[in-house]
Amino acid sequence: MGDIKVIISGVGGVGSNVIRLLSKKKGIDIIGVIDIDEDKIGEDAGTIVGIEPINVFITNDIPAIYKKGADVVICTSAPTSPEETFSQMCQALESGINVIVANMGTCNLWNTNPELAEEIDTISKKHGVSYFGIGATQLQERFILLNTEGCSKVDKITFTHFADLHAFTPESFRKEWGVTLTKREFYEGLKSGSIEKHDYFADGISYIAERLGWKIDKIVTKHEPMIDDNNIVYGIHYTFIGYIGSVAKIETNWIFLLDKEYRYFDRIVVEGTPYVDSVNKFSPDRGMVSTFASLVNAIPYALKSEPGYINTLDLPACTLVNDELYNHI
Amino acid sequence: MKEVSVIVYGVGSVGSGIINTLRKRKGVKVVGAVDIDPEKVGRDAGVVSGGEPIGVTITDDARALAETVKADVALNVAAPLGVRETFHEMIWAIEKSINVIVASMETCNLWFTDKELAQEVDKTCKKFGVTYVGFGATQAEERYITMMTEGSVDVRHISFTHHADVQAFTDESNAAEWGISLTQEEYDRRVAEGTVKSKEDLKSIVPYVADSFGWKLDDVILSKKLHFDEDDKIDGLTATVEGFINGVSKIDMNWEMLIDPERKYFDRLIVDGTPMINALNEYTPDRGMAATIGAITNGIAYISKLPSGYANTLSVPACPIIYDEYGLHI
Repeated sequence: MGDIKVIISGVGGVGSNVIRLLSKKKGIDIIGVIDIDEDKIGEDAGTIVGIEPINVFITNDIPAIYKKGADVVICTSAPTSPEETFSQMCQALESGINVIVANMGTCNLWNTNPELAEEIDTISKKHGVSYFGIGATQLQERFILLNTEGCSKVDKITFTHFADLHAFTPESFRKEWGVTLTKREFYEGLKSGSIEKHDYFADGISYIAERLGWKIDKIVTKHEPMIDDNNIVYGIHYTFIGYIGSVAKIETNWIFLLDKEYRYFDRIVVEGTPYVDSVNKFSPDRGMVSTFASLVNAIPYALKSEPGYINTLDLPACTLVNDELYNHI
Repeated sequence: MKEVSVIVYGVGSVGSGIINTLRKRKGVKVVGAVDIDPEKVGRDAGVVSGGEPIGVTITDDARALAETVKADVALNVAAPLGVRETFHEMIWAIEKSINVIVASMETCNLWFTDKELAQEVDKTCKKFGVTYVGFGATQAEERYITMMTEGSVDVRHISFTHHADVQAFTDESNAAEWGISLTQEEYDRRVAEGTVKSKEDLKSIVPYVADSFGWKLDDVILSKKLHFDEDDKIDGLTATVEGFINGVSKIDMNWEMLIDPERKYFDRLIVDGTPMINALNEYTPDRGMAATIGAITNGIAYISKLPSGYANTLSVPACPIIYDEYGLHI
C-alpha cells in the first residue's frame, strides 16, 4: 500500500506542530497545506513551520488542492462553531476525503446537535468517508470511560486535570486562564468575558453521563482563582459537578497553574466496584504535545472507520504508531 | 425499544457473577443458560447463581436451546478450552446469528496469534452476520496501555506492572493459575504434568501490544520468580515478559500475583517517551473478579455495534458500564 496522502488545513500553532510531526512519520505524504494568511500563501510549508522545506506550498485554492486526491484532511483552523467547521470541510467530504477536526464541539454531535450530525453523516456516507473531531480533552473523556470497563458498579466519578502551564507562553496563559493577572483584573476579565469561562468543560460531563446511561439534571460550575501572597493569580481551578436529583454523580476539576514543582497529572476516582484511584503523571509537555499528537495518531482510524460521522468516544484506542502508518489501516 | 437477550454458556463463578450483574441492568435479559454439570441441569439459573429465580432453566443442550429461544449474544464463560475448540464449541450460536463474546485471553488477537483461525472465524461469522470477540480483565489492561499513548508523539519504552492480591480467588484457582500454596517440588511437577499453568501464554500478549505500536519484536523472553512463605510454600509469582528489537528492550510486562498482606491491587504503567508517563491505577482487591464480569457485561451492548466477523479486542472502543437501557447504546 502507498503512503497516506494528507492535507493540513490551517497553519497556526496546532497546524504547525502537525506538519512538523508528520514530516518525521513514515508512510505519510503531505500533499497540500491550506491557509488564508496572505503572508503564508506561496511559501514552503516546511519553511513556515521552521523545518527543512518539504516542497509543499501553502495555498488558499481549496478546490484545486482537494482535486489532488488526498486520503485525509486535518482541520486545525481557528476554532469556530461545529456548523462553521462543517461548512468549511464539506467540500473535502464531497471530494471523497476523510476529515479529522481539531475542534471539541465536533466530538459528540449526536448528543449536542443531532441535526448537524445527521447532515454530516449523510454526506460522509454518500462519499464513503468518515468525519470526526479529536483533541487533548477527548483523550481524557475516553480515558475516564475506559476506567469503567472493568467495573460492575459505579456510583460516582471524580476527575481532576492538574496542569502546570510552564510549557505555554505567558501571553497564552494570561489570555486563556487569567494567570499572572492581579486578583482584581482577573475578576474584571471574567465578568467582561476577556478571560474564557471554559464552560464547554461542562459538556464533557454530559458526554460521559450519556455513555453511562445517566440523565444529569443539573451541572453546577465554580471558577476559583489561585492567588499568591502578592495578590497575583497563579492558577485557576474550575469545578463542574453533574447531579442526578441531589446526588453528585460526575465531578470534573480543571486546575491550570504555574506549579513550582511543574506537576502535570490526571486523576480519576471511581467510587464503585471495584473502587478505582488512577493517577497518570505526565511530563509538563503533555498539554502541548497531546493536542497535535492525538490528531496525527488518529489518521489510520479516519481511513479504516466505517463511513459516516463518528462520535469520538466510539473510536478505538488510537495508539502512537512508530512504523508506516498505512500498516495500521 | 429493543431488549438485548443473552445466553450464558457456563454457569460457574464467572457465569453466576454475570447473571447476578445483569439482574440489575435494564434492557438486557438472560434468556438461556447452558452447563454440562448434571447437578445444575434442570435448575433455575438464577437460583444456581445464588439469588432469586430468573425463569431460565439450565440445559446441557445448547443447540436445542438455540432452536427454541431467540438471543442477540452468547457469552462463553465455560472452563477455557483451546481457541479452536472454543470456536467449534460456539458454532451453534453463530449458525443461529447470535453474536459471541468469549472470556478467553487467547481469543483476543487471533489475527496476530493464529491468522488461519482468525480467517476461518471471520468468514463463518460474516456468513451469518455475527461478531465474535474475546473479552476479559487482561484486555482491559492492554486497552489501557494502548490508550495511554494516544497523546504521545514518541514512545521509546513501555513498562507495565500488574500487581494483584489474589486473596479474592479460591485456593484451587490460585494454585492452578500461579502455583500459589504449592512447594517448589510440587510446582515443578504440576507444571510438567500440565495441572499448573506454565504462563507461557503471557508471551503472546507482549508482541500483540507491541504490534499496535508498529514494533516488530525479534525476541520475547519470559522469566519467572517464585516467592515463598516461612513454610517454603509459594505465596506469590512474578512473571516478566520482555520484548526486544535488535537487542534493545522496548517493552516489559510484569505480573506480580501474590498473597499480599496489604491486599494491594494496582496497575502501573511507565512510558518513556514524549511526554513521559507515570501512571498508577489503584483498585480494591475485588477488581480481578469484578473486571472479568464487568468487561463481559459491559461489552454486550458494543458487540452489536461492531461490523460482523472476528473483531480484535484492541479495535473495540471503550465499553463503559451502562445504567439505562442497553438498547439505547446499540
